[in-house]
Amino acid sequence: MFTFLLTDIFFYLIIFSLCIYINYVRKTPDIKQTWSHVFKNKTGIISSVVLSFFMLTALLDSIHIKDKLYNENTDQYIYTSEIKSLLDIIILPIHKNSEKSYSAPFSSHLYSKETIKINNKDKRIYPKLLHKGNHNKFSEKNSYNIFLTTLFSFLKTIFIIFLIYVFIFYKKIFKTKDFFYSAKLNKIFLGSLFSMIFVIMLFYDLGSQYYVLGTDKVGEDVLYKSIKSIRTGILIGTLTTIVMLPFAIFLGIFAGYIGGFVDDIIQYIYTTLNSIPSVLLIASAILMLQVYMTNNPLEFENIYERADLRLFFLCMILGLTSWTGLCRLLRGESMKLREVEYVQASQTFGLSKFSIIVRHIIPNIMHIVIITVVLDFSALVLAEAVLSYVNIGVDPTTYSWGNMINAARLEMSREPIVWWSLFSAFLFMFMLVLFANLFSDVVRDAFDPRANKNYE
Amino acid sequence: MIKYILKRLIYAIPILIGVNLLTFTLFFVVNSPEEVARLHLGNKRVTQEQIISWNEERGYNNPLFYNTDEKGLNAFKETIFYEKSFKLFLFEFGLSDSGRDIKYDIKQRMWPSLAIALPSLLVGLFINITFALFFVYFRSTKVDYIGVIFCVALMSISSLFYIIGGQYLISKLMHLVPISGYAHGYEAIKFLVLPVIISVLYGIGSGTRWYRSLFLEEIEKDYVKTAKSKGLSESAVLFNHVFKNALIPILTGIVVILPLLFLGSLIVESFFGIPGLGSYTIDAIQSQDFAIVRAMVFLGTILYISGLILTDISYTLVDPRVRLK
Amino acid sequence: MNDLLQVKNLCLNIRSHAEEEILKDISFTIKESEVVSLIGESGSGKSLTALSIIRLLEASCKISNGEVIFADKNIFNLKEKEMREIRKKDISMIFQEPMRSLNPVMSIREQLREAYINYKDVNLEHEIIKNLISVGINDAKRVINLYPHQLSGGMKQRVMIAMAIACKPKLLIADEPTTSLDVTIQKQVLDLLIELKEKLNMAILFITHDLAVASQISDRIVVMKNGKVIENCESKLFFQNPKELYSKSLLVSSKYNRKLITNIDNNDEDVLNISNLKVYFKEKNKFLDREKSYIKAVDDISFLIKPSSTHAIVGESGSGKTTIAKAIMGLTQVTSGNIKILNKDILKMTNFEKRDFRKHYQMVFQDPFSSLNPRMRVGAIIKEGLCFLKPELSNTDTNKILYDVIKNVGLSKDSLNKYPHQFSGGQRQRIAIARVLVLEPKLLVCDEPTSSLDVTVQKQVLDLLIDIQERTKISYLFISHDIKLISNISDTISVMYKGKMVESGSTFDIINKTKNEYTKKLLKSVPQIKI
Repeated sequence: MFTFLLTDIFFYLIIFSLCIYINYVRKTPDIKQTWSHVFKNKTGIISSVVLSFFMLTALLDSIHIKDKLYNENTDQYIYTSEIKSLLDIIILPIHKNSEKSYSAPFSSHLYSKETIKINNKDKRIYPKLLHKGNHNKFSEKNSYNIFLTTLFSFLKTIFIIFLIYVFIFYKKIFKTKDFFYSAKLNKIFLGSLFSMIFVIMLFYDLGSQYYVLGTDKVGEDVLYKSIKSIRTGILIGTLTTIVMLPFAIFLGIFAGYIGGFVDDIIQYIYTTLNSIPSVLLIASAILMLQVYMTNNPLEFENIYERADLRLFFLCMILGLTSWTGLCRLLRGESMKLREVEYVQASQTFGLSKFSIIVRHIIPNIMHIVIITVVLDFSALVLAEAVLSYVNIGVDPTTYSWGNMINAARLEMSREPIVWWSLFSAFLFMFMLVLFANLFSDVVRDAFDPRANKNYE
Repeated sequence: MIKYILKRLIYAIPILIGVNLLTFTLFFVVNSPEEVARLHLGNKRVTQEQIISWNEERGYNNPLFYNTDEKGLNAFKETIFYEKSFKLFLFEFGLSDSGRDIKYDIKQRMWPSLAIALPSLLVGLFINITFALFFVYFRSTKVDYIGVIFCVALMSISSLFYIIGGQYLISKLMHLVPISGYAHGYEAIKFLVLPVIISVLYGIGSGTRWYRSLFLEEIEKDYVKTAKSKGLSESAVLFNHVFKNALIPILTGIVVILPLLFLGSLIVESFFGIPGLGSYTIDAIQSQDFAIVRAMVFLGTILYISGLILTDISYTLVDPRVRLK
Repeated sequence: MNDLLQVKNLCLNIRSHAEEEILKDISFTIKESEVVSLIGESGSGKSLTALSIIRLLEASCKISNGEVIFADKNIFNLKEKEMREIRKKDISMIFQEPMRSLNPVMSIREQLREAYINYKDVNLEHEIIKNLISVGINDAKRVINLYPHQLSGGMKQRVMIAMAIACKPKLLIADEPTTSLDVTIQKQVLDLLIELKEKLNMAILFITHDLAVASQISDRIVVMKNGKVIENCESKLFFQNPKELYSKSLLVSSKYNRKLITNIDNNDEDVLNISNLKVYFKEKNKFLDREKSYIKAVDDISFLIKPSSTHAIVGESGSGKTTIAKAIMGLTQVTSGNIKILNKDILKMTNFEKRDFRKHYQMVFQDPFSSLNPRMRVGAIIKEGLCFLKPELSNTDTNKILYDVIKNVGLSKDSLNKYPHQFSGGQRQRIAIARVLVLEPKLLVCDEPTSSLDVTVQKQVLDLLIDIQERTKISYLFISHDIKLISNISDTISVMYKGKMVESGSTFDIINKTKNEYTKKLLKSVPQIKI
C-alpha cells in the first residue's frame, strides 16, 4: 500500500510545479529563449543531466510503500510499521543484508579481528563477510571479476544508450534538433547521459557482489546510506526555497510597489530577522522544536514519521530565516519597476495596484526568483551537513550526509582509520553541490542582464 | 557626524526590542518553563517538586509578564520577561542554566575567538583579492576560465571536509601542529595556525569568485575606457581605477562583519577545541542550555547592528560621493 | 596637407557570430588638422570604428581584415606597449556620457595628472590649471580638488576635453560628445571644440548622429549605414547636394518642417485648461534638519489647449516639463492648482468617476524600450487599456479595433502575436501610440516621443502623429527639449525654465518675435545646418 509522508507530498508538489513551469516556458517564446541559453552551453547540459538523475533518485525515494503481513492469529493482513520506498525495492540487492561491523570497500572480511572458536581453540582472525565479497559472479579472482563486471555494465549501458538514441534522435520524437541546437551539443548530452547510466549500472552490478564503499559500524552498506541521503539533501535544498518563496515574493513586492507604511513595517520585520545571526536563530528554533517533540511523544506515530516531521520543520525553519535576502532584492526591483514607463502607462489606464502587480511586476521579477532558487540550493545542501554536525539538523535516524560525516569523526580517530564513510559522503555531496553550482552559474548568466557574457 | 551616529543608534532600538520579543516568545511562550525543566530532568518519573525547584533555582518560576503577587513596579519587575529579557538591554546576561556567570564567560572567551577570526579574515582577504586580480588580469583567457572552475570546485566542498581533512593531513600524518587545544600568550600560535589555514582555504573559492565579479563589474564601466585612452597600462588601470572603485563594496562588506568576529566560528572552534564563543555556543546548543543561547542571540544582534552602523560610517569615509553630500 | 590617419578596408565581427560582419570594408582618411564627421544612425557602427582606431574594442570584437595607418604605422601591428605610447601622445578620445566616463572616486586633479604621464614637470599643478582654464573652467583652482559628482554635465565634459588635449594630441576622437547635454551647453562645448581645434591645430574625428551639429564643425562628412560607408565627401558639397539617397533622406529628416493647417476655433471649449499648477517635492530631509525644504518642480504654471491643436512645452532637463505631464496623468501628487480636461476638474474627481473619464486623456512615453512590458505580447499590450476602460466591448469588437489600429499605425496584423523585443525602436513607438489610440482620447500627452529615435524614424513617427491629428481631431500636449522640431508641429508653445514658465504664446510669435532672453538663448543654441 502506498503511504505518504508529509515531505513526500511537498516533494510531489515541487515536481508538479516544476512540470507546470516547464510547460509555461515552452509556451512563452521569450522565456524559452532565455532558458535556451542554458542548454546551448556545455556546462549547462552536463550539469542538468547529472542533476536530473539526482532528482530522479530523490523522487523514487519519495514514493513510499508499507508492506502487508499476514497475521496467522487473527487471519488478517496487517500493514507493517516499516516504510519502504520505491528506490529501496529497486536497489534491493545492494542493501538487503547487513554485516556485523566495519568492512573496507571490496573487502571479503571484516575490518577488525574477532575471537572465534575453531576446533575448540580461540583464534583471533578477520571473519569472513556473510553476504557479499565472497560471492563472485564471473570469476573467483577478485580483480578479474571486477573487470568483467565493469565490462558487463559497460555493454549494458551501450545497449541502453543505443535504445535512447534510436528512440529520441532517429525517430525525432521530441524534435530534439530544436532542443540542442547542434550535433556537438547532442553528443555532449548523450555523453553525459552515458556516463551517468554507466555509473549507476556499475554501482548496481558491483554493489550486489561487493560492499563497494564498505560497511559502517553496524555493518550497513555505506553505498546504500549515501544513496538514501540524496533525498534528504535535495529535499532540504528545494523544500526550503518553496517554503520561503511566497513570503519573499509577496512581502518584497508589497514593500517595493506599495511603499509608505507597508514598506516600513516589512522592512522592520526583515531587518529584525536579519539581525540575528542565522545559525543562532535556527538553533533556537530547532531547540524549541526538540523540547516540544520530546514532551509530546505521543503525537508522532512512529520513528519514520517523527524523523520526517523533523526534516519538514527543519526546512520550514531554514525557509523562515532565509527569505529576507530575496525579499530585499525583490523590494528593490519592485521599487525600480514602479518607475518604469510600462507600469506608469498601466497606471494611466487606471489599473488597480493588484492587477499591475500580477500583470507587470511579477513576470518581470521572476528572473531574480529563479536565480535565487538555484543559487540557494547548493548552499542549503552544504548547510544541512553543518547543522547535523551541531545536532540541530535532521533526526539522527534519517539518512543524511551530515549524519554520516558526524559519525565519521570518531572513525577518523580509530587506528587503523575508517575512511570510507567520510569519503562516500564527500563524493556524493561534492557531486551534487558541484553540479548545482555549475548549473546555477549558467542559469545566472542566462537570466541576469548584468552578468558578464564573456564566455560562450 | 556625531548626530548621525546618534540617530543610527536610536534606529537600532526598535530592532533590538523586536529581537528580544522574538527570542522571548521562542523560549518562553512556545514551550513553558515547566516543559523545559522536564526536558532537562529527564522525561520519566519527574515529580512536580523537582520541576519547581529546578525552575526556582534558575528564576523561571515567576509569571511571564505580570506578577499579580507583587505591587507597583515590582509587579513588572518580578517576571521572567524583566529578569531574563529586559535585563539583556543592561548587558546583564545572568547565570547559565548550569549556574555559570555568562558575562564572565563571554569576556573570557571572546579573545580566543577573535584570535582565530581576525587573522583568518585578513589573510583570506589578501589571498582572495590577489587571486581575483590575477584572474581579472587574465580575463577571457584559459587561465581565468580554469581558475573559476577551480573556485567552483573549492566552494562545492563542505567546510567539514576541510577541517577533518586538514586535521588528518597536517596534524595526524605530518605532526606539524597539535590537533586541537589552546594555550594563552604566544603559545597560542601553534594552536591557531591550522584553524586559520583551514578557514582561509575554505573561503578561497567563494571569496575569489565574489571579488572577481566585483572587479569585472567595475572593469566594464566607461571610466576604464577613459583611463585606457589616456595610455595607462593594464596594471595601472587595474590598480588605480578598478581596484579603487571596487574597494568601496569590499571595505564596507568587511566592516559589517568585523564586530561579528567576536562570535567566532562555530564549527572551527569546536573541532579544534578553542575555548572561544563559537564553541561556547555549540556546547550550549548541545547541552540545551537556553540561557546561554538567549544571551548569544542578543549579543549577536547587537554586534550585527553595530556592524551595520560602522558600515554606514565607513561609507562616508571612503566614498567621496557619500562623504561630500 | 598630409594624411594623418588612413583607415583601409576595415572589417570587424563579433567572435561568437563570426559569419556576420558588423563593419564592412570601412575606408576613409583624415588629413592633418582636418575635422571629419562620422555620421550615422544607431547601430551603423560608427562607435566601433572609432574604438578600432584607438584599439579599445571589447574582447568579444575581432578585427577580421583591414588596417589603420597612423603616422606611417599600421596600428594593428603595434605591440600593446607601443599602442599605449600613441594613446599617451598622439590620439585622445572623449566619450558620450561624461558622468560615466570619469572615475567617481578620484579627484579631478588625480585624473588629469594621469593624462600628463610624460611630463616629469615640477609645475604640473600649474600646467593642469592652465589647461582647465583653456577649456573654459575659470575657477580651475577650486575645480581640481572636486570629485566628478560635484560637477554639472557640461563641466564634466570640459574636464574630459581638458584631459584629452593635455598631451596636445594630433588626433582627437570625439564620440557623440554633446549628445547627452542640454542644447545651451551643447553649443558651448561645440564652440570650445572648434576653438581648441584652431588653437592646437589638431585633427578631429567627430562622431555624431546629428547632421546640424556635424555641419558646424566638420570639413568632411563620412556617412555610415549598417556597417558600411555610404558617402564620403567634403562638408560643403554634402550639405548642398548629397549624392546618395540615404544621405538625402537623412538631410530631409533633419530639416523637419511640416506646418499643419489647423483652423482653431476659439469658441470651442478647451480640451485642457491648467491654471496655477504647482508640484512641490519634499526634499529628503537631511540628518536631523528640522525645516523641510521643497523642490519646486512645477511652480505656478497655466496654459490651455484648444481642440485639434498642438501645444508644446519646451525646456531643458530639469525644467519640470515631464512633471507637468505626470501631474496631468495622475502619476504624481499635485500641490495646488486646477487641471481641467473637457471642462471637468480631474483633481476633484473620485476614483470611480475618473475610471470612466480616463479614456479621454492618455500619454505616450519617451522611451519605447521601457514603455512596453517585455513579457507581454503586443496584442495584449494594446488590449490592456481597452479591456479595462471600455469593458462594454465584445470580444469581436475588440479584435476589430485591434486590427484597425495596428493598420493605422503602419504595422502588420501578425505583429499582434509578437513580443516587443522583436521590434525596432520606431516600431515600438508605433505600438505605444496604438495602445492609446484604441481608446480614442481627446487629448494625448506626448513626452518626448521621438527623442530616443533616429532622425529618419523620428520623422516617420511625427508624420504618423500629424496624420492621426488630421483624421481624428485629437489634441496634443507635446513635451520636448528641441525647440526647432517643436516649432514645426505645434500651434502654441510654452517655454519652461527651472519649474517656471518663461514665456507662452503662438508658435510664430515665440520663434520670430520673442523678447525673452532665455528663449533667445535657446533659439540661438539650437544647431542649424550651416551651408
